[in-house]
Amino acid sequence: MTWILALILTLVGGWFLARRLCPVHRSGVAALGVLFGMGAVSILFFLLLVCNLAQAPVVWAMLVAFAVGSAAIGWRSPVVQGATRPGLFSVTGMLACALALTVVFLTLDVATSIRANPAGEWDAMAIWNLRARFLAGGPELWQRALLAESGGAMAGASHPGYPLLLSSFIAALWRVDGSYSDAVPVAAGVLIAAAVLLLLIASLARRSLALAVLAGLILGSTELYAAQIASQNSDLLLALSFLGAIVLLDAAAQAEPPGIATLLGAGCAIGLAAWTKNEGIPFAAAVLAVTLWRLRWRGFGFTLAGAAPALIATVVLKLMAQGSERVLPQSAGEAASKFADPSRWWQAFAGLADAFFQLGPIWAHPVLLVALLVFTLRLIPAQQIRSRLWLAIPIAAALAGDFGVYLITTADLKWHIGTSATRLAVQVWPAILFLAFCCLRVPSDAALITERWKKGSR
Amino acid sequence: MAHDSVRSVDGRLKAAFAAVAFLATGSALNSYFVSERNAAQFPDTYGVERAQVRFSPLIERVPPNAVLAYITDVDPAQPTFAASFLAAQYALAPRLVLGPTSSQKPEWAVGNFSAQVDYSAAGRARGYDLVSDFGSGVVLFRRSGNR
Repeated sequence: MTWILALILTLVGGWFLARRLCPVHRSGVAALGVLFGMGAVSILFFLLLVCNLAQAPVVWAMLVAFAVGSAAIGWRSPVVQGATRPGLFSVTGMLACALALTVVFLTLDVATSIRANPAGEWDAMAIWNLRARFLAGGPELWQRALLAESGGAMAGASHPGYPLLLSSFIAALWRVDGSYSDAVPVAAGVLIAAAVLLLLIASLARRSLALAVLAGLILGSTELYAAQIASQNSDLLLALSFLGAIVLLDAAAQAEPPGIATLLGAGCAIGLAAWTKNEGIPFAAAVLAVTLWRLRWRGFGFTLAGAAPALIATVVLKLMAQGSERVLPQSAGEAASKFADPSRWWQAFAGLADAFFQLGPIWAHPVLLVALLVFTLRLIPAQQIRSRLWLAIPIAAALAGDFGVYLITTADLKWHIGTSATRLAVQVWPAILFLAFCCLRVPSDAALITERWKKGSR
Repeated sequence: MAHDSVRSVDGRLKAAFAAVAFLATGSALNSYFVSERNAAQFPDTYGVERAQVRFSPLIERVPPNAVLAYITDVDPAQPTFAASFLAAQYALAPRLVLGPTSSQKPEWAVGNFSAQVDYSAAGRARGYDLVSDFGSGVVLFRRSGNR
């Protein structure tokens, strides 16, 4: 059970780092602390592996140094105050009670799935936790995680160049624990899911607590989000990186000039997205491009600086990986012929659309719930919406990246879409929810407009 | 920080908020029921838990740095092959289990059988001698001529 102490050191270090870099309020700092803590520990553990220094005492020393070092950096940082606590009988209080009930059902749901499959779903067994076991093997054995042979060289399991954030973090905790306890990936999955929910609520609470709780309710009730918590896959971790990056970029763009710490924080989030999954790479590239466009060279420079450690780790990993992805074409000609096939475009589009359709049951589909709020609250003025549209570009880039892979994949396209599209929807859904809620009027404004409209019609 | 006082939220909004809260909570409850059904119907969906129990005696005999060939009675073209192979690989990691396409012939091989067959014959066909039968279809082989 010593992994619990290692997890606490990770969270403490991440919390102080987030406190230094992120102008979001207390609960948002805790959520981003999960991302930054896991990200930093995974990169540092990977560095120890590359340097043949990943013996358990050295890993312990690294964890303590990370926690102490982060505390030294973040100790004196001011924390943005949280939202006022709603009264129990206010509208927000009632929504908060509904959210609490949703979280209870979510917890029961996750506990049921974990009891049935303590080692997670297919990809956890075939990719993420399997590679973590190789990495936890220490100096002699960790490079097996980067071999095409791991996963039996099979198309759905062998990914020598897949990024390592989740696997490396789990491996660090297994290494210090001296075991392969199922509890480590389970705890990581639950923490990541809680961080996504908390960050969405915390980032919107600055505008309106009622809106924030409504967003939390909709995310918490999203069936695919619930299904991913116990899966032990990397998709919710990527969702956390995407959401963190968008929230911090939004905060940076609101300030004049954008704060250096916020830009570095956004950079960390996009770097960690690339270090989590390949889908994070087009996302990170798009964020860097839009920061150059919207925040000029200064914004670009600090964002890139924040992303640098994780991007460097990703490049090192890609260079060390032995073997290529089985699903990618071996020649440009093969890729071009697949790309030019219109039926593949339609199949990929229909597959993605179906994945979003599967976010929840038709009678309480999350998109339907957002549409209901758009209808009643109405949107903020078009000019304000346009000023935020650029934040959607990185999300579109992540979707376009996977769409492109579908077009050229050498695997059976139906199988490829069927095994990945719903997880892609989960990756981008929290960030889409954040942007959608940023475009809604806050309840008090909406009520004011209704009042004026009533007076005018009398 | 914006506040949403009770007075500022009109009846239409309250009704919409209540509808969203009701439907979202209902959806979360529905999701829980779906998981309950799935868990009852497909416990240990990929056989990982079973594999960890079945392969535990073999793990004690083979060092963690071992590379193992894989011998089975399941046809690699069958859909069940990938699941049984990956569950075995997961249970045995960090030992590396070579897949069906590998041309390497390491010193040790793990047998993962779905039925009671002649394990010795299955090993001999691949150039391996039977060393231990751990039961439940788990067998340890050694390359012929290595003793």
